[in-house]
Amino acid sequence: MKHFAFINTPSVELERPPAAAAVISACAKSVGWTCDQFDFNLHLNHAVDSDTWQELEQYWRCKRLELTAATKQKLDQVLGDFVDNIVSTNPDMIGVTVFSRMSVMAAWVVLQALRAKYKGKIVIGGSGSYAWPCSLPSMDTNSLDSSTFADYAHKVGLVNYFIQGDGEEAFVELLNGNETYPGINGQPPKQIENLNTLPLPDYTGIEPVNYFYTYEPGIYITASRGCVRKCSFCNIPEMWPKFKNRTADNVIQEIINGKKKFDVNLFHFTDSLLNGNMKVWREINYHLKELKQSDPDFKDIKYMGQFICRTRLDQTESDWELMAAGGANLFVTGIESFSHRVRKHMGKNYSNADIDFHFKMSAWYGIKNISLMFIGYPTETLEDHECNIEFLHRYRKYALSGVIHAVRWGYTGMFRESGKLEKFGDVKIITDPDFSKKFNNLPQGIRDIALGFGWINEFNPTLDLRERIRRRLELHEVSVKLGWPQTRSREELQILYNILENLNRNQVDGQDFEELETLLDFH
Amino acid sequence: MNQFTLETHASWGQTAPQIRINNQILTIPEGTNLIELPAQDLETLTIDFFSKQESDTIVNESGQIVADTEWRITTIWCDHIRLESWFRNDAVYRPKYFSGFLENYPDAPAEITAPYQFNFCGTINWQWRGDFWEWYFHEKNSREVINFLDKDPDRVWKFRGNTESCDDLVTGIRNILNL
Repeated sequence: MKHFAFINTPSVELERPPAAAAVISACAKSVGWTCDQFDFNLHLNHAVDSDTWQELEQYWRCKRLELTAATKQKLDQVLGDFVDNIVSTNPDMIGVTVFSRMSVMAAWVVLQALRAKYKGKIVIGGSGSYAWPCSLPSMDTNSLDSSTFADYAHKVGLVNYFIQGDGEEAFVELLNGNETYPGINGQPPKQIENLNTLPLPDYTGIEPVNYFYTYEPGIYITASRGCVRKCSFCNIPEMWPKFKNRTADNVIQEIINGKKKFDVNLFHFTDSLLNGNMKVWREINYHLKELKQSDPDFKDIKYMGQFICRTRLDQTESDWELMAAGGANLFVTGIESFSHRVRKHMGKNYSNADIDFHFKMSAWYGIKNISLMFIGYPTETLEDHECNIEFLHRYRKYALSGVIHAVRWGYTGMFRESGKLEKFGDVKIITDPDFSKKFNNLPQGIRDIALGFGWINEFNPTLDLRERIRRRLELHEVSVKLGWPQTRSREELQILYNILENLNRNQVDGQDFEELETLLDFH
Repeated sequence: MNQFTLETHASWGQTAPQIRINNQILTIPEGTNLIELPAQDLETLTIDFFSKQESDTIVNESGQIVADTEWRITTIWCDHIRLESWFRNDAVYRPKYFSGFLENYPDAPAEITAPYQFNFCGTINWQWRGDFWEWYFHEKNSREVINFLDKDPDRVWKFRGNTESCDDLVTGIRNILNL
């Protein structure tokens, strides 16, 4: 029997076992392979003290450029032992997940250590594999090179295969020796048609209770892929052109399995949106409600996940009652802007009255929300910006009561390509061809954010970088004054500061802002 | 002004339970119902359950209670926002026991915290300081248990969110951009 080893890399949260490990393990077993799961993220956390962990987290997330000698030595030792342990199991193939752009640096370090001791086949996957490789220490450039981390790791021989797009079927094909299946090594990926055919995730060996949960142990679950909307700024439609969902019965089976096998009550959906297919969504909640009411073992089941604000025509109050009864606990909702005009351009056609209804229902039924917002959208005018300030005043009670658990304002708009935005009209993006040259010593991990800032909309020219950042600060300050909890505000402001400081230091050192404005206002 | 709404579950003996809030009298229907309390602008909520008589407790020939006027609060909303259950459980109930009951139970408590059910007349009281929602925000956060902060000290601002002003960064950015 062939053997597969799967490695989870930092930097991902320690909240719950990595879903990719459980899914890949189940896929490998479904075709007769054995599979061991190795969570280097958790292993490392156990192996180092708190200060070292913090330093490593900053390094993985590229907030610092280098490790101290002591931390580097500790990392080398822990990683070396970890790799030795994996290699000693004689795997026929090793998989490494690159979960997000925050995992790129760690994946790079792990792959290097792994390749030094393992000459067999290595495969990587995960959405971080699409990230720019410019965050890596070996890429001493601010280049807008369009290749991905996966391309780069493949080119330099660290990996034999990379899988992009839906991974399960491609992975199974790869284990079966088919190296040319869609999604493998740059072949255009093929979206999985029927998600019901995928095996249920296998968390054996990475039990949820062994993770460091903020509130309670839980597991991830995926009920759908893709989105029913095609918002102008979002790359989900490129990753999953069609919205596909599992049937309600299939989802409920996984929840029952998760509860019975791993004794968890919290299910964290990884879907881009929970309420994409209202018929299926109602069925899921109906079954959950029945389950919770009929079997005391399931009465505490709850769930969280991303959600879309829908129009009043799409829903009734009874939908909210049903979701609450089904265990709805937290929705992460991309409201994006309180300006209807901006949302309409984004491709979101719900009104402010619909947002009112969304929060009113959440408030009545005790469902928490995290509101994701987008400052500095290319068409955003001062009037639109004022709408976002109104949002903070209008919904203050919801923030204080926890109905809006937190708001996230983000980094302001970043664009690498503008074609999609321009299709909606009122936008002609001009990117500064020399923008990358204005950074001489940009910290690696923030290059992809910084280089996305060099744009302006010809039809809304006053919204230059300075104005976008000004609006970002104003919304932060009003949030603070009104007592709104914000998530990741320090992290985001720190990154913005680092980018601007680098621009300032390298381009207009000792000069006044008017010159910086000239520099940025390049249109 | 704050508007409180109660979800109540009540049973009736001879008469319905009646409550008084800010001189307004409300009758609690049988079964599960929503009761809208009069809007108020106070730092306290006091419900005076005043109507019950001993005759509301109906017993059969063998002395078993077969019907009674009693009620409980299952959920509370303020301004149509559902409050977490700790708020309900913070209630202080000061029963006015019937004299016959006190003769049998002389040590019956004068105050009951986290009352489940109201079987005797008396007051049910909550108190806070200042603006209700600001008080509630701080109180809620102080009761929230966040695990494993030693393993991940950043999880408060990552998962819970915070109200940190980040003055150093805001000032730094403003200085760079001359804002």
